[in-house]
Amino acid sequence: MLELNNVRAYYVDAAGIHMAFEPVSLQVSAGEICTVLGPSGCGKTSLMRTIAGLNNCFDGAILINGKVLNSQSEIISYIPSGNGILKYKTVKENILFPYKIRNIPVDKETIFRLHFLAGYFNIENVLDKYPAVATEAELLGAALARGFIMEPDILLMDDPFCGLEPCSRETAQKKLKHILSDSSTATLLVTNNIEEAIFLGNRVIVFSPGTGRIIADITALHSMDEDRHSSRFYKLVSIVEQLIKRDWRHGGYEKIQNIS
Amino acid sequence: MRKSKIYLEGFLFINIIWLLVNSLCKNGKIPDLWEVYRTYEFIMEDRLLADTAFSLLKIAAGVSLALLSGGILGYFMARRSKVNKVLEPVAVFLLPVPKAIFMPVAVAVFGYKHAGIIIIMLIILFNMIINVRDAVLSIDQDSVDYIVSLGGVRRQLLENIVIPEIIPAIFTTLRTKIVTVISTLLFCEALGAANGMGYYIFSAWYRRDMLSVYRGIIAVCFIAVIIYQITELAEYKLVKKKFASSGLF
Repeated sequence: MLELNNVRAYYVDAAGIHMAFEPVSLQVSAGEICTVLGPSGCGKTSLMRTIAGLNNCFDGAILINGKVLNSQSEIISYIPSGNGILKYKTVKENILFPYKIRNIPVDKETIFRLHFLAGYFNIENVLDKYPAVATEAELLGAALARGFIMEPDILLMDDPFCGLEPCSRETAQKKLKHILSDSSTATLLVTNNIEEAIFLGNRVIVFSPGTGRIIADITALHSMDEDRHSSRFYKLVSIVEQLIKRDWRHGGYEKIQNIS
Repeated sequence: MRKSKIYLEGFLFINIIWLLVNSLCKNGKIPDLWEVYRTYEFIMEDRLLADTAFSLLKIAAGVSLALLSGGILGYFMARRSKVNKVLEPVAVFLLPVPKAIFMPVAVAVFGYKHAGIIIIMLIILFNMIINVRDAVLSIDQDSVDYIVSLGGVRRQLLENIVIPEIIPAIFTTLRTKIVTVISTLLFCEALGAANGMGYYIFSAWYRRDMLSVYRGIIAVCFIAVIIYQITELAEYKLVKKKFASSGLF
């Protein structure tokens, strides 16, 4: 379980110290997919970066299974918004890169998992090629394969689908949801897209504008095995949209545990 | 293979032009092509090979110094804005200045023996600094973030991101400057060195030994083509191969 206890991040520039987001307390259980929704500049990416160990300017505690989070011992897979694929390595080398960084030998089981993930994310054709010749969808597939290859404790994704056109986006979302449904990874996914947040997450955290704070925590979303083009799904999106608009206007907080 | 064919064809056509010019200029000022090539029979008794080796060593030394200093300075210019504030105006100002004019200064400080190496270094250095700095600045922050999030250390960042990003900048600089390096070295060696291709050609010219002059010119042509090709090939193998099928090159 990932726990954030009153975590507040800040950054320093020439103008002084600025708070990235207001104190956040949050628990994400193993296997839970928590999507983080909010407007630009509210601190969603700062939250991701803080959990990923990229920002040491924070107060509060970040714990995994009760212990302070340590990127050297726990396996954190962070997929930044630009996918972070290294352009001077082949796709295969990129996927196996976590093993190189952590000095873990690559065994037969890892290679098997590599090929399974490559097949699952449709990147077998570009495994031995460099990223320059891969499409955006293939690069995302490579980033996801790299994210899953070590079976991470925590998976952090910062708007991973932002570079995709709508059809590829939908396909990628379905694949991600399917693979996460069988995984015990605690997942946090940042997005600006309400439909995406509801489709992918079984829990949606909503941030307020500006120096963000959590204003809504929508849990117990039903599984989206059903058609996302159905009237039920649109109704759900509309409800969340109304909630967000109201709370962003009035600065309230909603904890919604049942939506039907 | 296609490149080699083009070079061979070029060499052949130049020799044909030489034959034509020689047949038109009957005053003997352009020596006979076959007479020049026949002198290569005695190449081991001549100092041509030794002088070629000296020039190549100077080029290697100058390029190595430029790579080391330019790479390090360019990296720190990208990482430290104060270093950039001091070095950027110097590099930009000196970029268009012909470095051969610093030959008297280089001779006074380093002596004739090493002046050529210093001039070679200066020719490459300022372009290298700017290109390396720009390469480091263009590094994708997402890639850096990814490695840090895995617990990667500085050495791993250098090895997996910084150095691969710098290598294309290095090869671009070398490829664009290598011809200037060779030509400037020849003239620097002509000005007072005791060895090297420039010394060989110009000392033969002063002695009116035109066969040796042309022998030296042909040797320089081959050396220049080989060095340029090696640079291009290394760049292709290490850099462009990664982008070749994308249609960028």
